[in-house]
Amino acid sequence: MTTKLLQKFKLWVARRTEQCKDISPLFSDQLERKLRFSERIRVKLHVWTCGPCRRYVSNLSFMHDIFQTQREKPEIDEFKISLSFDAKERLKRAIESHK
Amino acid sequence: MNSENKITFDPVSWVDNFGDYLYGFAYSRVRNESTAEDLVQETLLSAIQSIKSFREDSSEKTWLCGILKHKIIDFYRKSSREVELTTEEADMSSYDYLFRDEGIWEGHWTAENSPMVWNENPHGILEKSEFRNTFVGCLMELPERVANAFTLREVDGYAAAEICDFLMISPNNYWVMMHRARLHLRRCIDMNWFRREN
Repeated sequence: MTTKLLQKFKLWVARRTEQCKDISPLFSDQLERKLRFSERIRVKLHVWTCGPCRRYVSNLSFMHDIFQTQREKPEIDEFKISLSFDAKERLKRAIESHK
Repeated sequence: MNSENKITFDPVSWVDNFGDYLYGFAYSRVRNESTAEDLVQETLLSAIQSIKSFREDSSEKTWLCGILKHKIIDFYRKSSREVELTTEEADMSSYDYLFRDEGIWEGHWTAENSPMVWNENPHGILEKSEFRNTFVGCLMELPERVANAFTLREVDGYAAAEICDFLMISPNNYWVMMHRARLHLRRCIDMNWFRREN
């Protein structure tokens, strides 16, 4: 009963507060700079009432975490693509003529 | 002690030993095969020139990669002549379709574009080659400098101030670029990875 009321209240707030489109830049900004107090309040309030934006924020941190492993162990080559045989020959020739 | 230790260097062997690694590193940052190959060549040639800068406490691979990183930044700088955002870079209207354009929920996510939970472990996901391809493919859909900004930030972990310097942009423009990159990449990865798998 109370959760239903809370849901209704959240919807009511969501409809009367900011649009996802307008607040979405702040979700990126908060990963880049310290938000102003008023901006923090706006983000908190919006995310509290809006499930899709909550998931948007968590998707953004997912995209950040992807590279964590690679940055901690830079010696691991994640992008395993190879130079062609011709390209290697070209490089060797360039080195030979440069020595 | 070993002041004349450079005898062990065989630059030609670098191609077979580290060529693919350096190439993959460059490719993931410039997203173009011939540019990546050029950068590897420049790297190896300037390595020959600066063999004295090699320190024994690091590995040849790390040393070469350090030189390559500088070459990549130089490349970014050269391709960043514009000081302000170009119209293409600043155009956010191509993302309007993500949000409802009318009704009581105007400006909120449309049902089909509403973000969903991503049920996968982000650590190690890059080991899947299909995911790497998806990701690079999504990056390539962005204007080049926007993709470069995202790569510098998230892949290489540079600070915002450094990135602004490399790409010759103001902090404000940098924030616009990062927002745009994230909005696009989130949607693109969602569509081409998470929703396709099921």
